[in-house]
Amino acid sequence: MSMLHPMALLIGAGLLTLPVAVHLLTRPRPLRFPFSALRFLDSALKQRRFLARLRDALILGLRALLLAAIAAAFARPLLKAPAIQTGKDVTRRVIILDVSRSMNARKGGVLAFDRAKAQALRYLRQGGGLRTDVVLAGARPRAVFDSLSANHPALEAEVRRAEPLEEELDARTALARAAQLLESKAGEGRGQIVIVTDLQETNWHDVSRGALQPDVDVVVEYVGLGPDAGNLALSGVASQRRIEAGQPAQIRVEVQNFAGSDQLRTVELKANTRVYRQDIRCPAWQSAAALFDLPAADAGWITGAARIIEARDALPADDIRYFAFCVGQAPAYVVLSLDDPRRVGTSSYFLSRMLCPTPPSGAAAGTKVLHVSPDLVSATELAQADLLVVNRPGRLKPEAVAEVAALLLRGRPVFYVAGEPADAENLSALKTACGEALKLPVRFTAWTASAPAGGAGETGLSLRDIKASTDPFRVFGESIGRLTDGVIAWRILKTSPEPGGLPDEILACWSDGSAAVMDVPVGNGRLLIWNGDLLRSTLPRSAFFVALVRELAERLLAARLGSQDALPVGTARVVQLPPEVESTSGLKVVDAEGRPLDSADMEESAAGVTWRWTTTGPPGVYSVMKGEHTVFAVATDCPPSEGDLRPAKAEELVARLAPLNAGPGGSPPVRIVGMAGEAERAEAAEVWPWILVAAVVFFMVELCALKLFRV
Amino acid sequence: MGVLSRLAHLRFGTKHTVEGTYSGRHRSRHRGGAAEFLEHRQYSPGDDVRRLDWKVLGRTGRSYVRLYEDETSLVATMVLDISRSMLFGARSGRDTAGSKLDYARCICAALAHIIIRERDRFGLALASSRLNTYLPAGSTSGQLDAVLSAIERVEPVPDTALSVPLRELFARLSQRGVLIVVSDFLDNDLERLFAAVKLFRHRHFGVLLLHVLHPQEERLPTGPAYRFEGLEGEGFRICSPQEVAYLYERRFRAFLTGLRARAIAAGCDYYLLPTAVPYVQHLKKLLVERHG
Repeated sequence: MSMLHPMALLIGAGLLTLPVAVHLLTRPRPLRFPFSALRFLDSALKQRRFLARLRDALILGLRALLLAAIAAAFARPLLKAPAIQTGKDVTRRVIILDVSRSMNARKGGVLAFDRAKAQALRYLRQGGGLRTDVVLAGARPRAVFDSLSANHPALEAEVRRAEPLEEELDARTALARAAQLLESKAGEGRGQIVIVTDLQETNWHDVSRGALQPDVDVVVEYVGLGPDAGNLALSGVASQRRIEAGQPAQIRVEVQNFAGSDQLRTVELKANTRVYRQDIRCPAWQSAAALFDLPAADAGWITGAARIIEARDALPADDIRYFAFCVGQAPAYVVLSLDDPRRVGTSSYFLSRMLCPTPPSGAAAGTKVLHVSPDLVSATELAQADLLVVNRPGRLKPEAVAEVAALLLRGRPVFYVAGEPADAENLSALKTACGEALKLPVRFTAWTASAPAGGAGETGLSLRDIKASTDPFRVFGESIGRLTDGVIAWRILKTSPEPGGLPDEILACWSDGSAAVMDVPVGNGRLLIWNGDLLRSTLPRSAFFVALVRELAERLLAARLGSQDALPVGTARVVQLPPEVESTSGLKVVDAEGRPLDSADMEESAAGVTWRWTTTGPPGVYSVMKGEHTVFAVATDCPPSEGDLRPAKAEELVARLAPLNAGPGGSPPVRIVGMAGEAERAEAAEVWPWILVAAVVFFMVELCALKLFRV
Repeated sequence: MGVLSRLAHLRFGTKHTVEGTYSGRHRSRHRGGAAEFLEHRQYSPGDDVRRLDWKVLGRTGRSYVRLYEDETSLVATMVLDISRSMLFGARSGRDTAGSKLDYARCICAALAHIIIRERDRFGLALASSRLNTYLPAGSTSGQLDAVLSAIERVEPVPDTALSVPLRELFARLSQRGVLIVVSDFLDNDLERLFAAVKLFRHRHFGVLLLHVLHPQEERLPTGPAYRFEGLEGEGFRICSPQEVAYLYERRFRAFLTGLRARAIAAGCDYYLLPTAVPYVQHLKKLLVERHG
C-alpha cells in the first residue's frame, strides 16, 4: 500500500493527541464537598466506575479512530498500487516529472500531480546503488542536480516540494535534458528514463526518441485522468479587428469543450472596470465563441480577464484567461509611390480608395492616407505611418530603402505591391538593408518589357494554392475559390525559391508557380508582398479586391498594435515596445496590482526599446508605465493546449520513442504503464471515500455510546 | 423566647412504665397502694393482707387483692451523637450553623427544657466512639443549665461507634426510663449498635431513636464534578454526582428503610428528622403523637 500524501499521516498522528488533550482539558475541576455518607458513595462508585471507564475508553478510542480515519483519507492510500518498472541491470535513471498546468487536473477528488509525485517517490525509494536525477518538466525543464546522483533523500525532498506550474510542458527539451544527463554516465550499466506525466496529446504528439542512446529504457508512468476528463478551457481572448478609439471593440472569447457532453456555461469578461456576461453553449469536443462588444472611447489599453463562471471541470486553472488590447487612433497610411495622388485610375489611387473608402472631411478626423514621393522620403513623414504602402515606387534610392528597413525593424508593417522590374531590385536592396532580419522565401526576377500586358501571346495568370485557412484569406471562407476565379494578372515578377526561405510564408501563388502573396516577419515588423501590378491585373475591378486590401491592412495593423494572444508563462521573451517609446528612461513594468516587476530589463537599440523578459511571469496582465501613463501592456497565460487533457495514443508514442536497433531479449525498451489500467488505478485511489465512510461510522458509534452510557 | 413559648404547651411522655424517685405523672412500673385502681388478683400467701378487698371477700367469700398503679416521675437520658459526620451541612469548619449537629443541639435543648419543666429528670450523654460526657439525670434548673452548657461546648469527634458509649451508659443507669438517641446513625457497625439498644429494651427502657437527616445526604448535589471528602477521615472521592446519583440514592434509601425496620424490630420508636423541617415542627408532631 502506498500513500499519495504520507505527510497527512504524520499530521494525523499529531492530531491523535487532540482527543487525549481534550479529554484531559475538559475534565471538570471538582468542587470540594465535605460529605458524611461517603460509604454509600463508595459502593455506588465501585459499580459505576467500571461503566464510566468502559465508556471513557470507548469514546477515546472512537475519537482516535475518527481522527486516524480522516488522516488516512487525506493521505490517500492506494491499496493496489501498480508495481514500478525497475528494469533489468538499470544503474542510471532520470525521472521526468511533468509539472505543467495540466497536472493540476482533478477527477473524483484525485489530483493528477499527487499521483505523479507518489509514483516518482516510489521510483526514488528503490535505491540499490542507482544514480538518479529528476527533471521537473515545465516550459523550461530543469534537473534537480547537474549530474546523476545517489542522494535520493534530496531528490525525494525536491519532488515533495514540487508543485504544478502555470506552464506548458516542453516534452522535447525535457527528454533531451534527460538524455544529456544519462549520457554523462554512459557505459555504467543500463539507463532508464521514467516519465511521470499525464501524456497530453498536445504535448507529446511530435516527441521522438531524439538523442537517446539505444540502451536507454523509457518507462512512461501515466497519471492522467483518462480520455474524457471533462474539462472546459478558455482557449483564446482576441480582438476581432484592430481596436480604434471611438469605435466599438469586438472581443472574441473562445471556449473549448474537452468533454464528451455539451456544456452550457456563462462567460464573464472583465475589461478595465466593466464586467460583461454571456451564456454560451459548447458542443462536446468542440469550441464555441462568445462575442463581446466593448466601447472604446479613448486610445489606451483594455486589460482584464475572461473567465468561465462555475465551470465545474477538471482543470479550474484554465477557466480564466488574461488579455491586453491596444486601443489606437484611426490608422494613418503612407503611400510611397511615384503615381500622382490626384490622378484617378492609377494603382495608387485604387489602393488609397481601398484603404480609406471615404476620405475624411476634416483634417484631424478618421483614417488618413498620405502620399509621399520616393524621391522626397523623410523619416518624419514615414514615422507617421501606421502602415507603409509601397506601390510603383520606381527604383528606390538607398536612403529610402534604409528608411523603410529601419521602419520595418522597429515594428512598422509594410505592404509592398511589387509589379515592376524595379521592385525586384528594391526588394533585394531591402533584404540587404535588413540583413539577417529579413529572409524572403523567394527570389524575384524582373520581367522584360517585350510585349504589352494582356496582349497577344501573353497568358494571364490566376491565383492558386491559396492558404484559405489563414489570414487574410480566412475571412472569405469557402467562397475564396469563386472570388479569386476571375482574378487574372499579367507580367508578374517571376519568383524562384530562396535557399533557407520558409515556404510557409507564401500565402498564395500564381498559376505559373510564382509566389503571389507573402507575409514575412522582419525584425519587429512585418512585410507583406503582393506580387503583381494592380493595373496589369483584373484585381482592382474584382469585388475581391476591396475585401482583400482591407484584410491585408487589418492583419498588418493588428500585428503592430498588440492584439496578440497572451504570452506563454515561464518562457523567455523579447517584447518590442511601440515605436513611440524611444527611450528607456522612466519606464517601469508593473503587474495588475501595481507592483513593480524585478525582471524588467529594458534595452535601447536602433530598432527601438526592447523589453527582455528572462522568464515571463505568472498569468496576469503586465503594464509598461512611463510615469502614470501606460505605454504598453501584455498578458501572460499558459498556452490553451494545456487544457486538452486527452492522452496521446500509446502505440504511436511507443513507436516514436522506440530505438531503431533495439537489442533482442530483455525488457521492452519503451513501456507505458497505467493507461490500460486507468479504471483500476482510479478504483485504487478511491479507497479514501470508504475511509471517510468509516470515519462517519466511528462518529455515529461514538454518539450511540454517549447515548447508551448516558447517566 | 419565641421558641420557648411555642414549646410551652408540649409535654414529653412515654407509654412505657418507668421507675421514678418522686411521684409524678408518669406510670410507675410498681403496683401498690397509691392512687389509681388497676385490677383484682386472687390472694396468694405472702401478699400484703392490707390490700385484701374485704368487700369482695364479704360478698363472695373469695379473697382478692386490690392492685393499684403507681404514677412516678420520668427519667429521660439523651444520647447525643457528636461524631464529625454530624457536622455535615455546616457552613464552615468553625461555623456549625445548618449542620445536623446544630439541629440535634436544638432538639436536645428543647427536649431538656420540656422534660425538666415537667419536673421530670433529664440526663445527657455526649457520645461518639466512647462516652465523652455524661450528665446524670436531674430536674433542677441547674440541670438544664448544665445540659445547655454541655451541648454548647460539644467538640465533634472523628469516629462513630455508638454501641460502645451506649453499653457504658447502660452500666451507669440504675433506673429504667427513657433513652433518647439523637444521631445520624452513620455508624460503622449498626449490628452492635442495635445490640446495645436491645440491652436497654430488655431492661424495659423506652428507647426513642431520633434520626437527623440532611437533605443533601438523601440527594447528591448537582454539578459537573465534586471532590467528596469524608468527614470522619475516610479520604476523598472525585466523581460527577450525576453519574452515581441514582445508585447512591438507591443505597441510601435502603439504609433508611433498613434502619427503621431494625428500630421497630428492636421495639424502639424511630423518628426521621430531616433538617429541612424546623425542629419545633418535628417536636410538635412527636410529642403530640405521643400524647394522642
